Amino acid sequence: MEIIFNEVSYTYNIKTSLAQKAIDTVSCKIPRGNITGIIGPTGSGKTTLIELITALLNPHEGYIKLNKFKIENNKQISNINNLRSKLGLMFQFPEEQFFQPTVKKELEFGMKYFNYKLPEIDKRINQALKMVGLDESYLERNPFELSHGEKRKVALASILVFNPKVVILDEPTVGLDNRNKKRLVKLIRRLKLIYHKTIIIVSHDVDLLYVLADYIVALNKGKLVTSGSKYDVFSQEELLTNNNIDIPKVANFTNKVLKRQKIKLGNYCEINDLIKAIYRHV
Amino acid sequence: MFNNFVLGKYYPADSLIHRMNSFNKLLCVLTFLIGIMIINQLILYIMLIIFTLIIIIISKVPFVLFLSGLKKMSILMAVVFLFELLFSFNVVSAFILVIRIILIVIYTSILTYTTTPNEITYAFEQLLSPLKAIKVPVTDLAFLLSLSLRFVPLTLEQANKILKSQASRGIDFKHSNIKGKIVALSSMLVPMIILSLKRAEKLADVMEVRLYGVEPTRTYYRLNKWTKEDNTIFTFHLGFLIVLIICEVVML
Amino acid sequence: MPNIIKIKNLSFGYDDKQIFNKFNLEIEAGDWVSIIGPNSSGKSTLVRLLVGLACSNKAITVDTLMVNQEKIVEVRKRIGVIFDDLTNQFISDTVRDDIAFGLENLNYDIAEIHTRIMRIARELKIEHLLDADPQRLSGGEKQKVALAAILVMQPKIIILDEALAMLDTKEQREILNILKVLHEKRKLTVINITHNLEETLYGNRIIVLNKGKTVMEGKTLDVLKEERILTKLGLELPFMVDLSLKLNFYNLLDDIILDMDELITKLWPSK
Repeated sequence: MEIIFNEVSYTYNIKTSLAQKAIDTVSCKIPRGNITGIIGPTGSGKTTLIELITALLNPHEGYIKLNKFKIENNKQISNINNLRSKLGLMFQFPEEQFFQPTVKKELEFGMKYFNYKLPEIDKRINQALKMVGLDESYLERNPFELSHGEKRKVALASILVFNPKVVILDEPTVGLDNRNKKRLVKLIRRLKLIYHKTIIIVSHDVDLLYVLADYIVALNKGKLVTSGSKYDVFSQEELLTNNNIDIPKVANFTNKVLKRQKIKLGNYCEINDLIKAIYRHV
Repeated sequence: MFNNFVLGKYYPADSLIHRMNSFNKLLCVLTFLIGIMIINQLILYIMLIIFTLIIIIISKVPFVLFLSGLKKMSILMAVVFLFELLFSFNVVSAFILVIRIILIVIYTSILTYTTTPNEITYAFEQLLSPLKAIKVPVTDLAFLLSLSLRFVPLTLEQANKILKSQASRGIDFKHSNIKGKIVALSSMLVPMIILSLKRAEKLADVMEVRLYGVEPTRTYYRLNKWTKEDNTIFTFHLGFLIVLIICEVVML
Repeated sequence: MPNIIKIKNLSFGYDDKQIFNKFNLEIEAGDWVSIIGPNSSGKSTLVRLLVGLACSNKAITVDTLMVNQEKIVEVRKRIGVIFDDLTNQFISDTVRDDIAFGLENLNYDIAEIHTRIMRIARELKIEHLLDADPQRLSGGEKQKVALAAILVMQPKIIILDEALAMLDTKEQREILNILKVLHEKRKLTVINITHNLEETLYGNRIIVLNKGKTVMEGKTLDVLKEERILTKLGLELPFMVDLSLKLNFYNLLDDIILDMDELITKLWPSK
């Protein structure tokens, strides 16, 4: 599912003395079947943007188009559950939302609420567990007693039971150690390659996104700074720095080599590929 | 469901009310509350409302903050109104009951809007200090009260966040019927309780490491001292209360 | 330099898990030590034990004081801790009052409290934030306030318990630079517990923990050179160290260079 933002604006506490424009005339396209990273300094509007995509908020100006759904001001979406089932949103620290004594009950809660039939529920739970790489033994375990990494996988699975076309992750790796970060990266890649999902990741870890994402949307103070393929975006060094946006270390290196030595090392996001490129050009 | 502004967070400004000694403010609020409890004549309530409005204006706290808080209570107040009407068949008394609730909420929030939690702690400590004689841990109680107040907005924000999180799992508060809303609320309570407990634990650790309670008395650094202005304001409140009592008695 | 922290034969665990078993550790005064290691290596438990939030049974000495019931107040006066939890570390609604909290607890007089607050606010450049609500600040500002609240107590040791984990790179750098200046100026001992090995480059020593034991310890770069051990523990080398080591392997470089421009000049010297 492709997502289109058209001149979207959103203001918190609109029409009061405490009004704050969080998103300012943003237009961009989030392509289907790819991983898009949303970056920007704190307060740039990243979280507001994803709340707009999932219709948790309605834009005050402009509209957001997701296939046949159009989210705009003053129009209550008639089929919001249909839209929601196509979008899976996982907030920061998703493990804080657990409230059931077993993983199985956590995963089936939403489906039971919508009166899904039992065989369907079981099928979807197994699918979701497979997607996140957890086996059946986790079903009877207490979600509060799992490790950090496992908790996050369960939280992700509870989104995946609805088999959303679009998966949106808000700072998915915060609080994880490096090992668990790598596992989550692998998982996200699988969601794209094997399950063909469109993935949107909000993160301030640009090094992570450089490796994982295909496209980048960069925001600052609610405005769009730039968007495009990750290599295009991160080569715009000056623009990003002026907007307080970090540049991945590998990209920083490549940019510097280009600027100082006029050598084009090529588009690489992994350090090992970078080494090979340096070897070729020294 | 819970929006960005919650009743009770400190709103910094330079006003007479902000400059008042916090213990005095607490005493004035209590005086006002006594007044509300005693009187029954509608016209006296009108006076109280005008009085409250004047205080709000002096405090320089934007009116919109009080309004948004009231808006959230509107369902509760409608329910109270109907119940009272059913039991007493008296529109005026139902009306008065609702006004009472509104005034109590607004007047106490003037206190919290214009007073930092530290100052509120001090005010409670002063209020409860006679209990020190019977070994009541007055400072701890005072801290308990003011920290609870201080974390109300944050806790509600967290509740909001969890509701949003559950919405993305299909449990949507905003777009549900009554049954759905109840389900959504209950799916929020467990995480909220757990988060609150964790928060309490963490804060306790932080307070302990920062040496809370190691000395028998503690300084209150930023304290508005009791000044002549405070004398005037307190006398005014007391006087107002006495006038109200007299009017109430006379009109009966 | 004398040892400001000495841990000898520490054994500690919870009902279901033993975390430390006859553990030993020494930290010299004035050092900046990074403690790294995978999750559940005991890093955070160590912090709790150092400030007496957990019982270490006479195994820990801080500045020649034993960490026990009797001396715990004196120990806590010497150690300041910044935790990773940005939301649950502020006691008050204004920055000013939060910084004052510790001094209020020790019953300092108002004039002294005021002087110290203004001094630290000037030093950390947060004067403009004094009347702000700490909960509404950015992550970096929050940690600066937390740091100020600790520094007014004039501690000898500052512990960061994954305190920079939630901040973005610019904010992390800002806090680390502030600490660097303070570390040199006030001869503070800094203990930084972290997952992010980039932060270790600010310190002079690294201790690597795993499952309650010290796997490695020594000077920062010496430890970082042990690529294989660190990677096996799931730790990621700082970028420039990783790059340098890999270039060393291919004989393109024969040293660890931390500055990007310097490295580029070394690789392409003629231009």
